[in-house]
Amino acid sequence: MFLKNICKSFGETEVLKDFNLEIDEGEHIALMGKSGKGKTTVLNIIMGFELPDSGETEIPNEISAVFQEDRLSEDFSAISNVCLMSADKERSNEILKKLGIDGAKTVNTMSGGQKRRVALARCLVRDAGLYIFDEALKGLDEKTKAVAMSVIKEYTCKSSVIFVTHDINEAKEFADRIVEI
Amino acid sequence: MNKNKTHKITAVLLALLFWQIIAVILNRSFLLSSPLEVAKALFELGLSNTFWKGMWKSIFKILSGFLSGAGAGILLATLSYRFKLFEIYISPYITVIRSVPVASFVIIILIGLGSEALSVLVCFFMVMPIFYANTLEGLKSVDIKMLQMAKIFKLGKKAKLIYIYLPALESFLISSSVASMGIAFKSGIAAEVIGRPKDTLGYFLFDAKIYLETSKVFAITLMVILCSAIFERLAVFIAKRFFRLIKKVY
Repeated sequence: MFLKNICKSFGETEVLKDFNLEIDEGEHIALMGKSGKGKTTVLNIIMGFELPDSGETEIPNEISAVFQEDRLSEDFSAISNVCLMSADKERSNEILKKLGIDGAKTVNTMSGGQKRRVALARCLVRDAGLYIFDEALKGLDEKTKAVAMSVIKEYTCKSSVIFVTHDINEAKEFADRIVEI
Repeated sequence: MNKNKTHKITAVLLALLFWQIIAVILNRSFLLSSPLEVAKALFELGLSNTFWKGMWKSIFKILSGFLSGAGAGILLATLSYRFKLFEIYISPYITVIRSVPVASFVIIILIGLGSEALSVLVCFFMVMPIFYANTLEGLKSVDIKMLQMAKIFKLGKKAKLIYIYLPALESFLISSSVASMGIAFKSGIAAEVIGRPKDTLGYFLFDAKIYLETSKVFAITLMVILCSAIFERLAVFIAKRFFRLIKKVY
């Protein structure tokens, strides 16, 4: 996939100017940069939520994502939220179990860290050409983070990945390449 | 029994006592019947087959108007949410329906259609705008971020309805039911009093007024309040059950 010479402004504010990004099939990149530098705009363009003012894009059809917010259906169980994306209940349960989540538990009774892992499971249950993780490990303790990281690696090994993080160690551990924005 | 409940019961008993005292002081039962006279009238009504038949007839008509009004309100709100132009073009009708007094509706319907379908139509026009406004507000309150999530994960219409739209609509639909059930009963009975369709609660109420049977007026009013409260709770119960079932099944 690639983004070529992308420009994007919001009113008078120019967020992206001639931004380029190319990711090979199966490559894992970490996207890093300070707040307000345009990381979210890049992701929104990739996910089709925003159109660039100019530039070219080629993006896979099948994208799966963990957003900055959990974006879960809070009144439903974890397994319902995950099964939304795949009818494969066995795979859904398997991922939830690996992430230490009880699938029968209703999301609105869960802690922030648990909800984050449900969002992660929902993303991973789907076979996609490109996975986007926007601060996916935010709010997890070190032990859970390590488990989540290994689960992410396991399920995304054949796909391209954009991993947005502020943590350089996370980026180094996960990505083949770090892209600064 | 907790303290609050005790206070509530005491408040009701005090109100009844106050009512009885005023009735005794006035000593004009056609102006203000005492609680005991009302209880007697209520007992007599309870023994009358005609009254029960009339009550069920009124309830059936009011509920028909309520259900069709609720259904139409939800349908129109969905269309307005889906098609912006539809919302613009329908808004004058909704505004007019909302602003027209019940009495005007009654007279217009009486002229055009007679008294039999009167309470159904009046309830329909009273309930529909409430469900329309609340459903539309609920739909508009759906988090855009959840819709973006649905787009990325390519969720189907059914999944979007169950996981995104219905949870957003839950509180709006429940509050619509609460608000409109009371209004349906009030406007339905008012319509029957004006239109006087035979053997309905409104018809009995008007008759009681003509013969200055104030205790009977109070007794019928009490029955209307009771029906309204029961069906209001029933509507909320059914709505809550429906949403709980959806969450359980999916």
